[in-house]
Amino acid sequence: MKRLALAALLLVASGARAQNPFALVGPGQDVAQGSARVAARGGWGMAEADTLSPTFVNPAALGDLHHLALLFGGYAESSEAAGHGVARRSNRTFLPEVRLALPLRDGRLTLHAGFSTRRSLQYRTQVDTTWSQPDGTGIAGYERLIREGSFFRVPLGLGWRASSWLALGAEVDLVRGVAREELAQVTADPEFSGEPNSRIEERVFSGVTGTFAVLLQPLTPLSLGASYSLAHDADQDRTLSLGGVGGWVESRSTVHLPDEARAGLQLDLGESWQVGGDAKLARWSRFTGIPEWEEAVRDEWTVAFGVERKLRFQPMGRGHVSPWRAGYTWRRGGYEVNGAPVDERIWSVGTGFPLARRQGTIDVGLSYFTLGNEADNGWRTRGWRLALSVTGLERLIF
Amino acid sequence: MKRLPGLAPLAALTLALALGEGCTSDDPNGVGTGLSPVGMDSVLVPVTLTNLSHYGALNVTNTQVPLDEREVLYLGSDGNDASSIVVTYDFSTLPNAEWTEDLLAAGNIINVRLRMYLLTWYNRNHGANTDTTNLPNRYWPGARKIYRVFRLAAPVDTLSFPGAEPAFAGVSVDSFVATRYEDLYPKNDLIEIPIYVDKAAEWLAERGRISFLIREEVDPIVGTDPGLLGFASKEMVHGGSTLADIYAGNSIGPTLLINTTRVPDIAGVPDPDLVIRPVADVSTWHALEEPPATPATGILFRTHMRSYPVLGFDLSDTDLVPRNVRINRAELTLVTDTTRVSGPAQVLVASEIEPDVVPPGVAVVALADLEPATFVVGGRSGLNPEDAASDIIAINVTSSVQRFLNGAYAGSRVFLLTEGESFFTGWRANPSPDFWFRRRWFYGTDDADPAHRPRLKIVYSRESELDEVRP
Repeated sequence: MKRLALAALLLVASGARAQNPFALVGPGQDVAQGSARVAARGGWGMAEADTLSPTFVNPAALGDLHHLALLFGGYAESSEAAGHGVARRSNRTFLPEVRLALPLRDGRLTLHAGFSTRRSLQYRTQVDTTWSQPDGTGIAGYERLIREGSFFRVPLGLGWRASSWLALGAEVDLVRGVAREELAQVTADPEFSGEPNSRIEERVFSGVTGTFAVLLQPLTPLSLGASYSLAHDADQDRTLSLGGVGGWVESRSTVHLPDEARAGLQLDLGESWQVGGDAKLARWSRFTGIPEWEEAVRDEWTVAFGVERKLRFQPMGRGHVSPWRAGYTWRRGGYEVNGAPVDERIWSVGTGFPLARRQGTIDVGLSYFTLGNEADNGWRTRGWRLALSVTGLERLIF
Repeated sequence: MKRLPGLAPLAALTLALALGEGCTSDDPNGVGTGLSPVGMDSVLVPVTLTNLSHYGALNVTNTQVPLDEREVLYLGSDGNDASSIVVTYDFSTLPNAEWTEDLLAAGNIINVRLRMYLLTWYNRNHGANTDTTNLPNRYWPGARKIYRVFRLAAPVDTLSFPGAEPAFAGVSVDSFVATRYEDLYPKNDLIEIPIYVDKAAEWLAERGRISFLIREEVDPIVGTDPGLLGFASKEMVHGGSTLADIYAGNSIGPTLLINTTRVPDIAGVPDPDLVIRPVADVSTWHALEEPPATPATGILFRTHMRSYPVLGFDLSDTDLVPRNVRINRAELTLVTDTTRVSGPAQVLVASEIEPDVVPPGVAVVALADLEPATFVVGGRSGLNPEDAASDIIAINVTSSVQRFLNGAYAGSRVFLLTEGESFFTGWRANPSPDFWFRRRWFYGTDDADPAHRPRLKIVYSRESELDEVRP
């Protein structure tokens, strides 16, 4: 079974091949989602300290764990992108989150690691084109642009329960990314039938950053959480080639990736309900290193809030009370399109199911989202996401 | 082993998600167009090069198939090219058990003919005699011919050709005049020249080897048409594809047929002719236009007596063709001088070759030395001289020009134009270029009409960021 899980883990390293047209811009679209539980209640989780269904949003909260915890989170999405009189429907599945936490001292100190996809750059376009010639004639064909790649993090850190009201966390994040853009110009004119152009530009990013987190529980019903990921430099290995041409450009340079701050709160409303909210700011406006991206980037912020009826178990093993969640997310993306910001709005609901003997939960969340609008951005995307995650707990696995 | 109930559903779900990861969607379309700044600096830029940096003309010899072993004998003239036929018979084998001395006596001979087998391509409509609606109107070798046969003073060494016609006496053995082929031979494929009987009796009596010269002549009184025709030689093996009939039972090649009053008793053959087959035959090619030393006035492409042109273009001018560009299309274009074409349809194969192998000007090279020196780029087949669509020949050399610019070779390369030689897999080589005499002149670099000049047309695309990188 461990081998099966390992094989699955390796497979998730492949990037998803769907997306929406805004993934063509700058650093692409934010696809970080966490567990389906978090997604269903709008995305908040910084102040969460649940040990039955840990969200992994705040590494400081992991110090409370008594059991080894595994989180696998993914989602399926059906969307339609449209604009300028054309539309395209996409269906995809995506597995952006795999996390593991291992208690080193029961309820006090936890080591955690994982894999978290943060941004996706996947999209492709194809349009018929005619290239004009000096003699006034035209050569017909089509132009296809394929953009693919992602940014992801591999965190490795500790969560420490310092006191009853204070927990701290710190992690080292390996930041990796690939951005590959292939422009193909294919001549379909039977009078010409020339060799197609293929311009391929590939960037491989590699860097390290650190994240510090805190979880405060000063009063019983109220929890506060915050984290800060440092801005950092990353190596960029860039290769530019043109199909058929013997020479190519190779270069190594540095890009400056932005810091990211998150903060949230959670308020328990009795035994059954809780509300919460998070805010996140990634200062993409400080990104440097790729001039074409610099022209488009801007600070990205996210506001999320929601409500949750908590999962409760009946005494004496008489079943449980199912959780219910609802939330709302508003994200202003880290890039501009047509000189206007791109807003993403998500409305979510969801529930969850405990595994046998309280060894974790299966959570589901259903979201409707809108991204961009034709009036400001020229393009928009609408669609549904079905998030699914499994949080598994195991005692004394090692 | 400890049971791990929590991991089992986790692993199964994860594997299912991972295997299912991916997407289905509508085909890519214009959604999102313009959002990415990715583009190329220039696309499909046309450039035409007309100045040849290298010109050569290769007269190619083929020791594997010397001239006297070719399957076709050429007779007549076309433009500045002319050939007669030298044929040798061995009369020393007569008399024999069937044709005894009394049967070979002059008084027993009724008539003597020299029969030649014309390749059907040279007939009207190239052998399609039943169809008279589509007479060939270009490169028709003419309908009226005079062929004369001369006895030569001594047997001729066929290895002396191509070369001057051997000296012959001023009076022919006999002459043959055809006003129109179809008047005499409905099938047009047998040419029979009457031979004086008394002369034939003398040859039989001499009982030795005798060579004859068969030549085309011009008779202004009759009004004959000069033209180059091909006949089967004694080495003919492609008769099925080029002759109306293989004529089993006869030798293929110029043949003497002697008809007699009294005949030998040969089982199953009533009234047989004495058939005397040649022991040697060869085309003289006493006139053969040399390829020009420069490409100014024209470029010659010829088979049978191979002459292959070599063309090179200067790609070093980066103002015309920058480095590190994508060659979308490159065409080597030659325009045919339609007044100087001869023979059936051609194949034209362009190959890369080192300039050192093909020095400037006219050179002689062995066919066997070409094979290891060439790399096929592309070509055209079915270049029918009677089809106007074949007059302008453009060969796709895109990959080759891309290689030149990529610096794939230590030195430069130029283009060699050949027929479909046997070592060029994929290009017609049967019959080999030794078979047909095909000739095509292309207009030269100094032709008054720029549209006639040989040229290399290139269409490229460019990413200028690549300009400063290797090679």
